[in-house]
Amino acid sequence: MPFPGFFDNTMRGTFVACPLKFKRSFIDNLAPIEPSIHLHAGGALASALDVARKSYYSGFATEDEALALGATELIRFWGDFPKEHETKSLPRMLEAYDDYFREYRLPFDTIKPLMQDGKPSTEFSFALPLPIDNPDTGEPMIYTGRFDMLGVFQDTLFVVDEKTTSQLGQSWQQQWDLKSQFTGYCAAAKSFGYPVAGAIIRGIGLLKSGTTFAQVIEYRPDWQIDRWYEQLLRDIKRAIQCYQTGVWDVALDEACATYGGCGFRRLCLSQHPEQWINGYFTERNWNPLGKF
Amino acid sequence: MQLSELTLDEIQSRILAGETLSPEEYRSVIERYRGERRAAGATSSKSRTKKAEAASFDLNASLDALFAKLPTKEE
Repeated sequence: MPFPGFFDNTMRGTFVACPLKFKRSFIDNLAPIEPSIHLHAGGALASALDVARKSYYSGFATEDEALALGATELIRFWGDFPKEHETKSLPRMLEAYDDYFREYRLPFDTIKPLMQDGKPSTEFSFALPLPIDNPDTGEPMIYTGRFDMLGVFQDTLFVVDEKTTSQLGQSWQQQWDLKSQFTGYCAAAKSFGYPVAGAIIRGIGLLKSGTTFAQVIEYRPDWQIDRWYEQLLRDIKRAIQCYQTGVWDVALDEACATYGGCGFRRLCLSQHPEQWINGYFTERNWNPLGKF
Repeated sequence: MQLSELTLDEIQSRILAGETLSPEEYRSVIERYRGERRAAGATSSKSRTKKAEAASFDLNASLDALFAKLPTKEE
């Protein structure tokens, strides 16, 4: 399998946590067959919020109409996915969606999307060429990503992104100050001429008892962006080196257990991992610019 | 029949066929789910109370049985 032509924050984070997991995910293009309810529910909610915002801020719909359009999108996005889950079922996500717009009503939200030519800047996708050549094609590697909105808060421009979580507490609020995901978003926005001060992360807590909300503002000065960029280049070069030598280090530590356990544990626990691929894993081409 | 009167599966198949929720239907659907969840929450809370009572009763019965087996002063 060839080396990917692009890198995004998920790929960088995976490589840094466990190079072997990076190989299995983005070179071998493997993914566990069992789909993730967390990713699907988060994607459905993000897509619904986006449709509601776009409809309202572009002047296409009233507040009530925009909410109905967003809910329609949530149900459509959910598709055939199983509906039953304690905190992430379809009815529960519809309720969380409605709770969101009770908390942040469209006409009164203190964060408004940046308007350009009458269109709200939601779903901001980017692709930045990097000074590293792809080892197979010789083309420049591309850094890609997508975030929810370029927003204006108190006359200042910010990257805005929503995150669903099962718990919104102090540790949730404190986890963003160094996150490369948001440094990369700020770098991309700036490179396209948007002078963002940082990122605003809106947390949506999906609890059994209801929905909770929290919001944090994280600043990203230029020196942090420069450091992130240099680190990104070093990480990609190391990934290329692993690819060229065929030697992929394996973490054998925290990365194997976080978030309920790495999806490739079954392979790493076996002396003959190739025997476990059929039946437990499927081929998946990672597309960081794919819609949610 | 209006979308708001249908089950979630029925609503979903009509949305997948291209229909859109109206604001009234949306509000009605959401309120229905909120009501169902509140009812489910109340049921599960009642069930937890009953379980706790049963557990407490079992504990008392066990303690009584245990005390009954202890030797008395006269013995």
